[in-house]
Amino acid sequence: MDKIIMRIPYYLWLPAAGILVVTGFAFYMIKKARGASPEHHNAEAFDIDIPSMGILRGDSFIHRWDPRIKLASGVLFSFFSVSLTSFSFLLASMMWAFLFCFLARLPSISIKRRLKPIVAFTIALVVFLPLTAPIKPDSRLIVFEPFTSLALNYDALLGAIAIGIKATTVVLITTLILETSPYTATIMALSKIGVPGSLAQMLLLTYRYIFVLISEAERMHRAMKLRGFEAKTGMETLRIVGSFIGTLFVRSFERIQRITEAMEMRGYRGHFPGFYPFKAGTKDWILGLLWFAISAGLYTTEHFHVIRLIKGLL
Amino acid sequence: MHEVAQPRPYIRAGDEPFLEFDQVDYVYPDGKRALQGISFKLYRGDRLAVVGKNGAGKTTLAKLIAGIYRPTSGKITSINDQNVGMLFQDCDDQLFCPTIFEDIAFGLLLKGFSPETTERQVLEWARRLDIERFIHREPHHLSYGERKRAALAAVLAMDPDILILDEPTVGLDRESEGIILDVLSSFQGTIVCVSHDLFFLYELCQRALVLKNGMVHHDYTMEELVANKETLRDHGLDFTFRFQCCAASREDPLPERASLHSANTGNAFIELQGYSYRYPSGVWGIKKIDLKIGRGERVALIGENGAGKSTLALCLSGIFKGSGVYRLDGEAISEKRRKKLWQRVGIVFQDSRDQFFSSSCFEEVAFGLKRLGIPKKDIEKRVKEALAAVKLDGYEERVPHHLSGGEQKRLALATILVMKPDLIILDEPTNNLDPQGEESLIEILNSINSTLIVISHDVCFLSFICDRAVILHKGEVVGDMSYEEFLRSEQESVRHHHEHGYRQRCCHRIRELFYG
Repeated sequence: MDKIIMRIPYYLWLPAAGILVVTGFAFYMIKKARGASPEHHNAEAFDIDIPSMGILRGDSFIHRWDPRIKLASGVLFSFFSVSLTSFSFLLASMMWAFLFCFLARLPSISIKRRLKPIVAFTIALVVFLPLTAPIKPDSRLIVFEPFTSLALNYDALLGAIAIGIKATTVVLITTLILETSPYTATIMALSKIGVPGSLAQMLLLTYRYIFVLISEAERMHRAMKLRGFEAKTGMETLRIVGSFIGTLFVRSFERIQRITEAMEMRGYRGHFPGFYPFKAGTKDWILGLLWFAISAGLYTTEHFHVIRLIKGLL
Repeated sequence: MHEVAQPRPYIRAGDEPFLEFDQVDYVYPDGKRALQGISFKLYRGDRLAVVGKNGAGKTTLAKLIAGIYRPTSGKITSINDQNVGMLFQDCDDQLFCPTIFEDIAFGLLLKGFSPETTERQVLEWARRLDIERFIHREPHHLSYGERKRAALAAVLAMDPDILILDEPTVGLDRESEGIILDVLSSFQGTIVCVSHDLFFLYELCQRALVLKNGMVHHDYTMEELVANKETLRDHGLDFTFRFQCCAASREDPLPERASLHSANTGNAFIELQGYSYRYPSGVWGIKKIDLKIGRGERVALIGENGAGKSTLALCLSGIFKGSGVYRLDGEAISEKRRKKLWQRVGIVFQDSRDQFFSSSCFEEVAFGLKRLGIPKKDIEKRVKEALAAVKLDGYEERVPHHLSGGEQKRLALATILVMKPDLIILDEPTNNLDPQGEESLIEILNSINSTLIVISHDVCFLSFICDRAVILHKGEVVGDMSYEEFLRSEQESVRHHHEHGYRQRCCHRIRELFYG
């Protein structure tokens, strides 16, 4: 038997839904109006927002933290965080990540840019998961009266929120790692903690050339639009897009050859030089240990029900 | 037609050549023969210009000198191991690190320099090429000129014995060109420069290797090359039409145009009022532009790299939507009309390859016509006419990507001309064109009746086409005058700033040599 845990009467949910719709519409209209002003550009098909990782802002103790230990600590913390299940622990891990972003004085704009897709993803999950998750006999439901047949799966709703919190924590940690060390140093640190060197080099080159590729695709797309191309559903569009991708591929392949030639001419023989000589001091290790203690502490406290045990003892 | 049996070998008395090509052939893996029987000697301190038509084998030869390619047959002898550096045509190929600092440091660190010495060297070269301000920035945030200078800094920091330059001046504004020329002039090693820019070559080099169909046709001094009209004509290098631009004094006549167009400047065909566009990064592309262009007018859009010329072009074509008033032929451009602007405005992009995505020239040119809904029987006729107008008759089945640079430029123009737009915008149309290609482009453009906007740094080329100059600086219109007036003010400015006037200086010297 399904367990209905909440019945929401129409005089409560109807105004709430109305407010939501009005707010959404107002938000849309404001965005549309701003889009027409020069402050905001019109979106193009290839307007892919890749956060810049080249310029470091700030010089906090987190910026000075050895990238290898920072990276290892961040990865470990992320793993422990996503293993947590209870909301209090999940929120604690998210707050820890927020605290360090604050201590690193990261510009709010970079955090916002990285969190934007996560927020959109979480909203989609929160809306669709409770409606689409299969209802089991022991499922807890929320019912909007008088539509008793339309029930929300309460457990799925909690699951969606938990996923959102975990994703936010991981994105915050990633932002912290990427925005407090030069990108090259972070990638070099990756290879120092066991990631194959060739993969690290590929990541370096990918970051550099993704912008070149986007710009090339953008220019080609503009040229197509200026000769009347409009994407439609049909074979003609598929054929044109196929040619477009093929051309882009050929041009990229030719570019790869030229890049290889340029790299070899500057002495490249399979390895990038060590741009950043790493040096870990006592402070770096202490900070690393603190992160490890917090990560492991959160996990073990939740996993072994330490709080309940302590309460029991008391 | 001049006869060439054997190129006269260039010998420097008392000197040992330090690089020698002996009957070198190069065949690409697809079987295309690029070079054949190449023999010449390179001496220490030589400044060699490699010239010839598009597709003559210049870049292949440069890559053989650089050691990137190995000869298919023949022998290349090098005294000691020469340290060779090469500045590629596309600077993005050469800036492969996330920041400019790392790019310049890359080779030095691999050479075994300590981090301290490397940093010192990086900063020194950044200072010399005036890129200190951008040293920790990502390459994609820099303008083309800044990227080109950064790429040169990365090559020069390696202290090469031989420096190879592939089209170093293409797409550069005067400031970047001046900085690069200053640095190259003080370079002590050997320079091999592949370029179509004969004024630049004349200033930089003493010797010229003329290639045709993959063979060395001449090994001249630069003076011999520029004074020999027959050789220039036969190798697509005849740039004498540019002599008209280097008027010796204020009183000299300005360049004569093939045809002067009757522009209707009374009623504005294009009208912008307070028009602005801002990029997502927050940078203003153009700012409060007020501009009126009459039907049939030919306007030169001039300004430094990053001045907003291309942004303005994209706004006029409806690709970018800014704020402010934009009227075309008296009609305000609404959102609906903006989407249809492609039917009236055509752009020939800086890099012609951006315009190609079809497998044959016919398909490429026919693409726009199909979108316009032109009947099939008319398409074939119009494509043939357009190809003939740009002197590409018989190219229907050729693959666009296999054409030479000059042919690609003309094909790109054909893809636009065929649609008979009211307004044609050309972005840096002379990039990678040999002088013959430039002359032919001037002829083609002068036969078109549409309104023209030409974006270029090539003041001389523009003088053959444009009636009016609009000067942009940091996204704003800072000058709007007749082209004659602009040219005169340019000549004045050259007289006052002798360091940037090398083109005028070269032009005078070459003209004297040419007319004996």
